[in-house]
Amino acid sequence: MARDEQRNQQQMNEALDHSLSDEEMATLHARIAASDETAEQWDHLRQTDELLRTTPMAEAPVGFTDRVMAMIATMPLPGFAKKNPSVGIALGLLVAGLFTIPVFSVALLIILSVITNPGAILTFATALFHAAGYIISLITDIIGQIESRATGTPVLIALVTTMIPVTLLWGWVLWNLVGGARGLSRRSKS
Amino acid sequence: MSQENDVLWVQQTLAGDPQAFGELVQRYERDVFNLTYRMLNNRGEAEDAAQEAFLRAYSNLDRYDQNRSFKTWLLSIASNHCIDRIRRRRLTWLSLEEPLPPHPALTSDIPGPEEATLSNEKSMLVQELLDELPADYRMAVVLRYWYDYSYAEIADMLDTTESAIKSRLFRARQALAKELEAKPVSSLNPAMEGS
Repeated sequence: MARDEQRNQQQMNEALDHSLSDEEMATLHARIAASDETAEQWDHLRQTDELLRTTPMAEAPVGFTDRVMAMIATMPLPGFAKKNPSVGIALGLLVAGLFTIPVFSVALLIILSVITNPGAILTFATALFHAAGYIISLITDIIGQIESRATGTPVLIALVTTMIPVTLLWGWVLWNLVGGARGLSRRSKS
Repeated sequence: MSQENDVLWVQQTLAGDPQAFGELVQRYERDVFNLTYRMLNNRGEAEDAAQEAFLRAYSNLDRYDQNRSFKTWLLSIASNHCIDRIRRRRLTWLSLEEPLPPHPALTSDIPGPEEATLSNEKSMLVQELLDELPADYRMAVVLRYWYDYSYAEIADMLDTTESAIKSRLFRARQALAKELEAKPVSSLNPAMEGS
């Protein structure tokens, strides 16, 4: 009995969604006609459905769009608006060009040299080794110079260790005071 | 054509023209407001929620998949925001520290000219009935009846299964029919009576 009622209700629900076949619809109508209780349930469901279907949309208050746009104008720029694709693409191409052109040129020269003279690869490796040695000795010299200056003048260490964080902190404060990148771009526009 | 225009306005906004977003707000203000109003049953709160939905959509516009409907995306943002608000509202009610919020019927909703339609008996009756439903049932009813979305679309918007939506709508209809049964006959539209 309870299962029949459950099945009736499910079918009524499907009927409201217009998802019953003609045959199923006819069976449902026969069941509705056979029982006052089912007929009453069907009436209430249909009334509910009709009420919901015929209730119009609520209109937005007057000036709603203007208020939303005014709020958007005061919002920090979203991530996508901060990006400048044309500048980004130009910089990307420049960096790619700066790195790839010399690399490809050197690679091409090596290939050509190897093809024409197999001994050239040894010469190139030797030159590379010398260059690396020169860079390492240069860095060692610089570190040595800094070390001797630092031990000669202890104030220098104190200055470096305090001035750098203080400068960074002031830079960060000033950056926020002008409103970051957005503030700078506004100032440059005005 | 409508979807093409939407995508065009989205692209213009993404390219740095916020005024293009204004076109989208204008086009969908009624859809979004109707959803928040039907869910929250308070015009003031509904306006706040609708504004918030548009602001969230603007902030996350780069996440919008331009192959899908902008309206559906926007309404799913509004739906989730309404459900969050209802949850928060419930938490406030449960908190002994907070004073109880006034009943929606008692809040200062000064009727404006555009509210003439809303204040009619039928619309009020619908709001009364919807207010009795749990939030997830109410959302299924609103998306089905006012936006004509299919079960699959509603399931997608609310991040659940089609069968869950079917079940929610079935139970919601049963509950609404019971509620309606208890209402006086005069509260029904005469055109509907005896249909």
